[in-house]
Amino acid sequence: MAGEGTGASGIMGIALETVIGSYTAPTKYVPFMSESIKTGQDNQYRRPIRQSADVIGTVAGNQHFDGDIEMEALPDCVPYFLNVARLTLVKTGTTPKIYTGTPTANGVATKTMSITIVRNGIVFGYTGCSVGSFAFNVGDDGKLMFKPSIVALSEAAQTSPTPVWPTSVPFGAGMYDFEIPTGSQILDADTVEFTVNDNAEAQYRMKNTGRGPSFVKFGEREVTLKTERDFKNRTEYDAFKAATSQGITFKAIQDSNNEIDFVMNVGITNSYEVNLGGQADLLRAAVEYNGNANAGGTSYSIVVKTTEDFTP
Amino acid sequence: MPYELKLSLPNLPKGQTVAFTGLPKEYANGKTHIISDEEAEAFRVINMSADEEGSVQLGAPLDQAFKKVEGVIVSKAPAQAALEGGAN
Repeated sequence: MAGEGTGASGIMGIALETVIGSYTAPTKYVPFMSESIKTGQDNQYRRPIRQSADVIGTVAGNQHFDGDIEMEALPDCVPYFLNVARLTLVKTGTTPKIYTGTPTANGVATKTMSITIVRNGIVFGYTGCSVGSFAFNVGDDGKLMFKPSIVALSEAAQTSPTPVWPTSVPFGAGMYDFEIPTGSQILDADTVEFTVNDNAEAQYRMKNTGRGPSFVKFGEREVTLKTERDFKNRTEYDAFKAATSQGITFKAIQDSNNEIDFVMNVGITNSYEVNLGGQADLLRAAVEYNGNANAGGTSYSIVVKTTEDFTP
Repeated sequence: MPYELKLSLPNLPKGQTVAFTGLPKEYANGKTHIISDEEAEAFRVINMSADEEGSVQLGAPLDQAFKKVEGVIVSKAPAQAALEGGAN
């Protein structure tokens, strides 16, 4: 039995499943900042009336396996997670490979991955994993981060893996082209958060093969983009009041082989807040955009350029 | 005796580097690398584990550790490569 351990020894490996829910040993190892994937269990506590005020027993209930991964948006790792989100990922190009993600209206998760997490030498193998929502964000440190939210079907102990670590590096300061509207670069924003939430829910059916979900359904999609900009004129504020739509593009470009772009096709300003906070406070506007579908029926697109080559 | 580490990772182009916990460098895909005795021993030490009683167990030898890793082939280096000091 292992002694006490810390997160420093942790490992995360992923692999696309050919059969939903069938464990596949890692083919890609992902450096990450934190993870919160956990197993929950809806125990049913029995309180029948029988001369007692106590719980007299427990019936094991449905199990659920979900949580978030916080990681740097490494261009060789991000496409794997996009592939098991509610979008179609198409690979083109030679060097680099270009993975283009287009959202779909799929009702259930049709592509899944196995996620192997090693915590203090103990191996947890999550299967049937899909991405119910994800977010890209650039914070004060200037790094582009990625946060997929995972919903899995099951978990079991697996063989300890030997990781092969990528040497890719994250996007940082000086690598960003932020355009509002698309085609017009802005130089007054310092943070951005782009979120796609497909409201994934585990679905349970009566069966005799375990207590995990039978499948994962998707709900209504919510696409939002938040940013903070220096306030210098009323242009964006008036556009907010008029509910004017505009496309928004964010490009993170490291070099010709490493790039992540996300585009909000039709952005409507949902909120625009600018206030005087104090004498020394720089005047800034906190803006949130809501993504609507364009004429083609899609609210956003994501393009990743990388030398990583896998079959979506 | 040193090892040969041959990388043929299917998801990476030739020349793309990867790293291994316990080995000192980044290694290019599509090439064969020589791992010295000292590096192989350091690999086992860095990958060792300890149980709650404090007993320490060295990590698996290099060829055993990568036995089931697709695209990574580890074998004992030929004597000639050992005499020449190897080349990455």
